[in-house]
Amino acid sequence: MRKTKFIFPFLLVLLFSCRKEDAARPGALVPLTVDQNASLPSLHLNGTQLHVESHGNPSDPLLVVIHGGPGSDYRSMLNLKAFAKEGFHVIFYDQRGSGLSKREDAGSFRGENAVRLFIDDLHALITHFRVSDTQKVFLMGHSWGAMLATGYINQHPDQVSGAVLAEPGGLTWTQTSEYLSRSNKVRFFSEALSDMTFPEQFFAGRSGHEILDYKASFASNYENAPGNTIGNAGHYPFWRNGAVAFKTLIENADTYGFDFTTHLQQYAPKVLFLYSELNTAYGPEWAKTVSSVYPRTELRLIRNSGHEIPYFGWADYYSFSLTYLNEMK
Amino acid sequence: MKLRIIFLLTFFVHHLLPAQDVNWRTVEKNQHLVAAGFGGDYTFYYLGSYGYVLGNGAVPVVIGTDFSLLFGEDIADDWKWRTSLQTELWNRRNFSFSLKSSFVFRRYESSLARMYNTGAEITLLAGYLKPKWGITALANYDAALATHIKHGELKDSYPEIRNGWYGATGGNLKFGARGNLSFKSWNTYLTAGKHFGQDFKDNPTFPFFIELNIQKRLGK
Repeated sequence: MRKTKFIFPFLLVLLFSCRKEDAARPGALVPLTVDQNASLPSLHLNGTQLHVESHGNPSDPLLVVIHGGPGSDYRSMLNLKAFAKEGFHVIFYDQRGSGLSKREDAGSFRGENAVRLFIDDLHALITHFRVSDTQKVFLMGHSWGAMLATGYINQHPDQVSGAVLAEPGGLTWTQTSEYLSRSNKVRFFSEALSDMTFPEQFFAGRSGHEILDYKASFASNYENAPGNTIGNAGHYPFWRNGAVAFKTLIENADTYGFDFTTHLQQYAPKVLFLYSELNTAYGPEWAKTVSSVYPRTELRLIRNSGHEIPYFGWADYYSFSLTYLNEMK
Repeated sequence: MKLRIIFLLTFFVHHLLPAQDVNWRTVEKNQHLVAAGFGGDYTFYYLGSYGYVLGNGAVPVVIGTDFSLLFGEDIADDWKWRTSLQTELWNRRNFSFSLKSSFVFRRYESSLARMYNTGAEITLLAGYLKPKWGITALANYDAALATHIKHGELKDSYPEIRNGWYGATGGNLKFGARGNLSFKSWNTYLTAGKHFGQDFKDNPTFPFFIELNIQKRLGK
C-alpha cells in the first residue's frame, strides 16, 4: 500500500511534467502529404491533389502502376521503375485520399459514384501523360489496384492495350466479399490480433486523419504476422495507410456494390493474370474464377510469394510481366 | 524475455492481484476479494484481481487492482494494470448506485512500436443487488492521458518519426450490463456490452466486450 501511495504521485508528476507531442500534429506520426509538403511530386487532377511520379521517356508506351488497398500507396511497388529502362514511361500515383496524396474527408467517398471517382482519377492521369492518341497504355494493378484497373478497362476498353493484374480479390463486390471472408479470417486469441487491436485504446476516440492513419498502420501487424493467411513474408514498405479512404470505400462497396465485368467480354487484348503460391485464401481455382470474365487471359503462378507479389515475388513478377509487355507493346 | 517475465511476476505479486467487481450486499469490512477471469475487450485477455474492503461503517469502499495479460505467443509484451477505488453512493431496497474510478497503465509491443500508456477510467453502476444475485447497468469512460512511443519498424518506413511522449488523444465509452451470482464465499460476474469512441465515430474494431470473473471473499 505504501508503495502504491508512492507510485501514484510519481506517475502523475511524470505524466504532467514531461513535454508531450500532439499525436494529431501533421507529420508527427505519419508522413506529410503532398498538400503539406511542397517538395513531393504531385499533380492537381479531377478536383484533388495526387502524389505522382514518372520515369522513362514520355513518348514510350505508358505503364500506369495502380497500388492496392484501398488507402495504401505505391511505395512497395517502386521496383517497377525497372520497366522504364525497357522502353516504358512508368507512372506511379497514390490514389485519391491514399498514401501521400491529399487526404479527403469521408464524405467524398460516400454516395453511389465513389468508385467511379477513382476510375475518373485514373482517366485524368492517363489523359495528362498521354502524348498522342496512338501511344499505347498498359495498366499494372495489384490487389485492389488490379480491381480498379479492371474497372477502368470495363469503362474504357478502347483506351487500354493490355494489363498485368496481380491477385484482384474479385471483380464484383460479391466475389470480393467472398475473398475477404477467407483472407481476413479472424484468428482469435492470437498475438497478431492483439498486435493489431490493443493500441486502439491508446489513441482512442478522435477521428482526426493523422491519428486514424497511424492506428491503421497497426493493421499490417495482423496482415503480415507469421503464419498469415495471405502468405506475406513480413512487413513491406509503405508511407501512409489512408484510413478514411479504406474504411469509407469498403462501407460504400457494402452499401452499393460494384460490378467491373459488365463490358469485359468486348475487351480483345490478352491480360496477364498473376496469383501467388503462398496466399492460401487465393489459389489457382480462385484465380481461374476471377480471371474467367476476360476473353483472353494468361494465368501465371508466382512461386515463393504471398499476396504482396510485386514486392515479395519481384523476380518472377518482373520476368513474366516484361515478356508479356514486350509481346503486347 | 525471461527477465521481462520475472519483472512482470514480481510486479504482479508485489501489487497483489486485483479486485474489481463487487456485490455490495455480500461484502463486509476488512474482507479480501481475490478474483480471476478472462474476457474480450479490444482483444482477448485473462486477468487476476485483488480488492480490500475498507469503510467507515456507513459507506463501504473497495480499493483494488487488476492486471490483465493478452492471449498470444508472447505473453509478457502487452498488458494492462488498473488500480481503482470504488464505493456505493446510494442504496435502497436492493437498488444500488455506485462509482468506481481507476488509474490505468498499459504496455504494448509489436515489431512496429513499443508503447507505455497512462489513462484514467470512471465507471457508474446502477443495479438491483440481492445477497444471492444481482444485475447492474454500467457506463464507463476510459481516457488515454499520455503515451510514450518507441518506434520500431515504422521508423524504417518514416525515419522522421520521433520517439517520446504523445499527449492525450481522447477516450472510449462503454455501455453494458453485469449479472452476478453469489454462493457461500464465492461470487461470479458476467459483464458484457458495447463500446464506442468518445466521438461515436472512431469506434474500436471489435465493438463488444465481455468478461467472466470468479471471485473468492476471504476474511470475516
